[in-house]
Amino acid sequence: MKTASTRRAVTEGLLDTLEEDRSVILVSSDSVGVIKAQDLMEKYPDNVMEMGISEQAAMAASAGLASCGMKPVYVAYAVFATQRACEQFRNTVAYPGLDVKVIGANGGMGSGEREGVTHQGLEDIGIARTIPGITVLSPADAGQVRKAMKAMLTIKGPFYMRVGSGRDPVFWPEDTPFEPGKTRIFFNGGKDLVIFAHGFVLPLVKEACEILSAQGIGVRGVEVATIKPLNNGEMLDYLRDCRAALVVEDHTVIGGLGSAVAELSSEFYPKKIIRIGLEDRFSESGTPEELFEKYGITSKKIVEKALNALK
Amino acid sequence: MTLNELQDTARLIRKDVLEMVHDVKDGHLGPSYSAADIITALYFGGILNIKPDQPRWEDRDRFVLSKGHACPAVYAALIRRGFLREEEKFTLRKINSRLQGHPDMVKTPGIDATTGPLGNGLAMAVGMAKALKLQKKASRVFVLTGDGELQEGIIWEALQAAVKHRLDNLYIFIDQNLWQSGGLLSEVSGILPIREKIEAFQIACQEIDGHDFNAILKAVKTSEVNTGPSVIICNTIKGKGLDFMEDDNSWHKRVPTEEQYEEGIRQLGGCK
Repeated sequence: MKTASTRRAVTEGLLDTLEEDRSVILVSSDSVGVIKAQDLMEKYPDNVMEMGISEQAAMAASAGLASCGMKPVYVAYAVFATQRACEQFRNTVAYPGLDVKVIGANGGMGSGEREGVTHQGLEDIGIARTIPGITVLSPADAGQVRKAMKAMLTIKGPFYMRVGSGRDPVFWPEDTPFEPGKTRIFFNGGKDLVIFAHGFVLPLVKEACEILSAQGIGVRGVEVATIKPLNNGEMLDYLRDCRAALVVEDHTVIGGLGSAVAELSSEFYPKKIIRIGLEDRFSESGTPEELFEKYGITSKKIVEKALNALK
Repeated sequence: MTLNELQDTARLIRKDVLEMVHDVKDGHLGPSYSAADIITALYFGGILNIKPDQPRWEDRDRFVLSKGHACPAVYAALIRRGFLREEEKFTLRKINSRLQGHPDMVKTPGIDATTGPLGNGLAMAVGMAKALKLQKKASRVFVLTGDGELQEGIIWEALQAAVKHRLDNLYIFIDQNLWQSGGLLSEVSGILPIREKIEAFQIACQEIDGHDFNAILKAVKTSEVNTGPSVIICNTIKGKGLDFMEDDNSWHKRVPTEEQYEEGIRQLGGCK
């Protein structure tokens, strides 16, 4: 499978934007290397604020920069951005609604891979999603991340965007646009079953859709890259039409897209919603393939649960 | 303002704070009183370059009350400088008020940073000072922290970054009243001595009487030559200004009885 770095794509997106907008500033807690931004640092030294290894101060300093008219993009590992600096994200960024973009790398166990649990962002989306006013993005691949960077830097307000390990599967053709707030159908084989997914599990989900379709199941695969705010109109269209829905994500099954879909469904069109992700436990070190196999995020598992859901 | 006028203004601000806390039956008197003279010096001593009719003026100096719980004193100063209306005084901590329990930069004209969670204000100020330098503005950023607040790790994260970025437009007042919510700093924490720790970070540090206006104004002037951030440790008395409150930590967050309120108003200058 072809891979490309979603982390480097953050830098590419910043470079694209800096050509036109010099108020953008990368805030780093020794995370320049995380997104391979050394060239950006050389080209735009005034557009990087290195805070040292200090996620809490970096988050709050980003708020301070934004309050004075800059457009800070704070990059850290997902687990540290959303958990170590969670209170600063809430109180200094989200509460005043400041224009700070937070990027969390190593989102999920697949992209945290051999680093182990301490460096895997397993709950990042759930945490960011519960804080009022934060837009939460999880683009599919490097091309999408680069475009998402440009797109979100034109929208005022706090954002959280999840990226991966730097060896992330390419899912969409290069020229595919990124449209914040929109969902996208990537497999359209009927309406009995809808499978919602985001991020680096999309290739697995597509594979599962193909297997299900070959077995005569009417299945639709939908990418939900903007997890908050959910596009309720589009989501309800899918939910209304289906008999059951699956949500697949590299995230704990508590609080992520699976929860968001269940919350929406239960209010409007109660359907059977099956959440596939990391069950309420911690993962471990290993390759992404080994981890997905051991912790139950495989096309085989998706097919099995889909067939059960339709019984 | 003359020295006498500054002292008089500080007395009136303490009176306002007493009235506000007495009215809503909530709020931090002791921490507001130890900081009241520093706040008065900033707003009335010619330090802060601000425009009450343009609270979001881009070229203004910023003030960050990192010890956000002392905000009644700042609200009183903002009312007296014309940022807020006099009648808003009695809306503190009430529903639909612009005067939140802790400072809110969106709701309240004149408030530059949403603070209260201890330590965050200083780190926000580091970002502000960096932005203003990048924008080549002459604006300065003034921060007021508590001494108990220095136990927060984010304070030291922010300080090392302020040094690295040579933020000579950042002025940090530390209100050293030696008390925190749970008791004496020396009993609750291992944060003392403070000055040595600041100086170990290679930060220019002065130590003054935080109730002496001449000393406060002079310390800011002296700091202007520094090539990095400046720290001014202000030795203060918690509850300063009312004899029954001074150095009595039970006033950290205590509501006065009617008798105490009457006595406080009397000590702060009689007429309400």
